[in-house]
Amino acid sequence: MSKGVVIFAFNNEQIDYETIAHLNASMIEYNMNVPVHIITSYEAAVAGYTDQIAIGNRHYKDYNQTLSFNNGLRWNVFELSPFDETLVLDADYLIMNDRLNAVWGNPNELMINTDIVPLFKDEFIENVRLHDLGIKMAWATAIYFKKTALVEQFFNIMEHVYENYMYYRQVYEFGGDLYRNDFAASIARHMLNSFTDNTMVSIPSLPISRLLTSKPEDEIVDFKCANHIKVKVMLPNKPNEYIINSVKNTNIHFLNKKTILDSGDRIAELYR
Amino acid sequence: MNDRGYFIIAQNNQEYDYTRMAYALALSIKNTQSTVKNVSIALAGADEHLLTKEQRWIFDEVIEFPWGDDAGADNWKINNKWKYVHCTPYKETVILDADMLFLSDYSHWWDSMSMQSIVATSNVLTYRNEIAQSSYYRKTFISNNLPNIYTAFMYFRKNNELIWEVTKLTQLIMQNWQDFYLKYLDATRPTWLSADVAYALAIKLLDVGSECTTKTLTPTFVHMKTRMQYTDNLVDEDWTKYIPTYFTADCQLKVGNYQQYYPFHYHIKTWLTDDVIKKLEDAFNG
Repeated sequence: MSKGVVIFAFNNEQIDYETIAHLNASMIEYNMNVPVHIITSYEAAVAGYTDQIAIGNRHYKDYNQTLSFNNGLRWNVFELSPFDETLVLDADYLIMNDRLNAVWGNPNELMINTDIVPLFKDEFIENVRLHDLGIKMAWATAIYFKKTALVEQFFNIMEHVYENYMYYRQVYEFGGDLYRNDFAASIARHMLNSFTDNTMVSIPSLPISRLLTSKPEDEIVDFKCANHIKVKVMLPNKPNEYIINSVKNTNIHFLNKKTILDSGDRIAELYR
Repeated sequence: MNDRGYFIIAQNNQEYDYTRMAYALALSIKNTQSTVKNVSIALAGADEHLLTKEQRWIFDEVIEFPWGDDAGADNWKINNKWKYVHCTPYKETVILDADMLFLSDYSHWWDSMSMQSIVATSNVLTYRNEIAQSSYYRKTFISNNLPNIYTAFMYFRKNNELIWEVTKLTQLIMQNWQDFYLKYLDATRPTWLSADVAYALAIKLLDVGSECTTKTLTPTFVHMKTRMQYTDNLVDEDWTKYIPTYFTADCQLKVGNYQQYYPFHYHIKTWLTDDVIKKLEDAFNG
């Protein structure tokens, strides 16, 4: 059985996602020693999916600009992954340990997280549900899957949600017009869990039960050494106050793309 | 005498037609249960005419509960709920509140329940299938160390001394509830007669809590009282204002996009529309 990581990387007017993906790929290979397959606009075009990349426009706090949100096509990872066992990761989910290697050979055919944890204690990053009275969020940041019929159905549902987004927005009562993989994955997970939760048959979380997440305002101050970074964490509701936090040997979802790119040379140097 | 069955005491008041709710519940039991599908109803003698022909037909037995109507002119008619054991037609009985629906087959619960002489539901669920742990409606239970029981779904075996002892004391409590509440409960006591509180107090005074409760999840039901739903956004008691429901032609229920499998205690009586009853009838009539 082949195994590996897949990252989608579609550049927009400002953000070089391909470079971020390559930087993260070097971190993944360094820590997990598995191959990484990056799906760029070129691969998407070859597969005939160019029209499914662009989702719309959104404001990026890290760039203080409204830019293209090129985050589509994730539902086609079932087809586009060259691996039998795939871990599909967001480009900006920086891998700084080997814990996700526990997924390989797992009896579960699909694993996805429903919990995140903020970098600053008790800080609010996002709701834990699509709607206060609604279903749990599932985070498409990291999804493990095998190529089985159930998993194919999961990604088919994600695509169906994408194609009927306004309908699902009404039914599940979430906000915003912009398609989000997290919402589509949440709905797909919910449906495949027989429209319920807290049962023995739930689609489980990855071996890392909570994804450590920083907000767009937080910045990497320094890569001290491999898998050890200093992060400037802006304090919630205090725009000019911050603390410096040390993150060591822990995977972290960095919503600030600019700071990853700014650290590019250092990452390349450390994870050569 | 049948061995096992469900039993409902229903009394209409000025606002709500409990016999109609019991009828819907009975239909849902007949539609979903594979082995234990007996269901009977007890009414005050004066109320028997309230059952329509169709409603009467769904129940295995329609029973007049004994010793008259303790509720009298009260609008909140709980007072006869100590009489279950005296009039149930079954050797083993699960008593139910009328404002519930069955949504899948719970027949397999009976064998585990029958290992005790009484099993009161001790855990209830939110519509999202979480164990409801809100203390909002249970302040008296916590403050007075009462067993956390829900009599909306409670099992008992008739041929056992324990249910008769619990019933005898519950009768005393229900008939003198203000005196008992004042003597045995602190200031958190309710200002109305509650069947859960009366049974729980009887069980506590008899010191038989562990014999009457269970640490297992089942029996259980989805309890739709709003503040049990783990959200601060439901500001009044009518959850139907906030959470959409879908009751399909094949009698599947989704609440807020969650499929419901456990007994559903809808609590807000207006939720039971004629459309829901029609679907239950159609399913029953095949």
